[in-house]
Amino acid sequence: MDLPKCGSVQEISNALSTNQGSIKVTGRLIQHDCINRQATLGDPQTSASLCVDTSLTEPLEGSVGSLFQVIGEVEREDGGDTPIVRARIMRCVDGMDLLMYNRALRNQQKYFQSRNVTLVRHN
Amino acid sequence: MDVEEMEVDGTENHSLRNDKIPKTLCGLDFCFHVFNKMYIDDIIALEQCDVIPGMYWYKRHPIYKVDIMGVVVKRQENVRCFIYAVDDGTGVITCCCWKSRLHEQSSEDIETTLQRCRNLPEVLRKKMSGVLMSEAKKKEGYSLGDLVHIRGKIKIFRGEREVVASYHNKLEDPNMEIVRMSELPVLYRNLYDVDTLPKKVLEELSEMSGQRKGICHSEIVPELKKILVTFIEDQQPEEISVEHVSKIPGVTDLLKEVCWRGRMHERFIRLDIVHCKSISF
Repeated sequence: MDLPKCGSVQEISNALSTNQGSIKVTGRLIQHDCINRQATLGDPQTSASLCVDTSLTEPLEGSVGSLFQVIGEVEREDGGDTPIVRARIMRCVDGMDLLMYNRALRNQQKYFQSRNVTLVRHN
Repeated sequence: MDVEEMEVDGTENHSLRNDKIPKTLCGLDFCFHVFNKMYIDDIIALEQCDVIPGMYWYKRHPIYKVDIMGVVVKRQENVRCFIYAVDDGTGVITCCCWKSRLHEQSSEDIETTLQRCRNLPEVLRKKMSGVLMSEAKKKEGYSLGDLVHIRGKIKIFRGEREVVASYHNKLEDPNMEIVRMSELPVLYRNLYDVDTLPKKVLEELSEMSGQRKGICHSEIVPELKKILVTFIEDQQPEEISVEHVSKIPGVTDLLKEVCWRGRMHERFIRLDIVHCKSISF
């Protein structure tokens, strides 16, 4: 059964600099255009924002101003400057404490770095 | 799937690292008995145990039940079960949730059940309606993007590893994800990356297994049987006695390797030779 790729959890500021792959970002919905199926996700603490293509996830439950978690693939436009996330999953996470979330995320990343294990897999 | 690890910053003794706990002592490890909260990435990378089917190793812990929490990214409905792909940020794994036969039979509505519970206090009635809602949701199945909590055994289905859920539930509160994300590094550091058995016990175990890899008490009888059968095929004697048997070179080697520790083992070996007398050729 071919599974969708796992979305590695990232903050919006990191997501802007990744090249490719599946990611999971959390942010506040700043703008949502149903007709063009575009949305903008913003980080409440920094002013970074990310473009999201919502063709697979329309109609959206929740309105502008809610917190959303997006899982999808990062793609770069032909110009190469702004990344856009093709959302597979848009999840409304109103009520989530973003400060705690970021703290837990940092702890998790610290743990993964401290593992210092090189895994060599033979399939 | 083979996994080789090289630990750069390890405090464990390098000679002990590759020895697994013997099959008979797996039950001493708490990981054997509980639903282990783990990262999905690690569950996929678990090493299979060749001695016990259904058992997997994480470092030196035997694991066969896991507890995962993640977002549903793929959903498939079959006649008897739902198959979800769950993503927790580190990996994706399929989970199989069997449909409950009771739901097919019961035609009772939520309202009628609540009517019957009129006499209960307010708090319990609210709890009851919450439980009935989540049961109804389970019947319909979770949708894409739901945060689910699944506990179950690891099985291999059509070559792929999957979790067969014995408990599954949808979580409404998104903060539960944060709780799990903060719990896991602590669990890993304090429990999974550390050995359960004390160091002295592990050293003794590795000493006992180090002499002759793979030979333990329960394997002595089959080993003896093999040696005796080859002896009989080669020599074709008319009569065999216990003294004769203990003089066969293969048997003396076996005795030496197993009995290095002391007379206790010697006594076990003599008893086994006596048992061998009753083996029919």
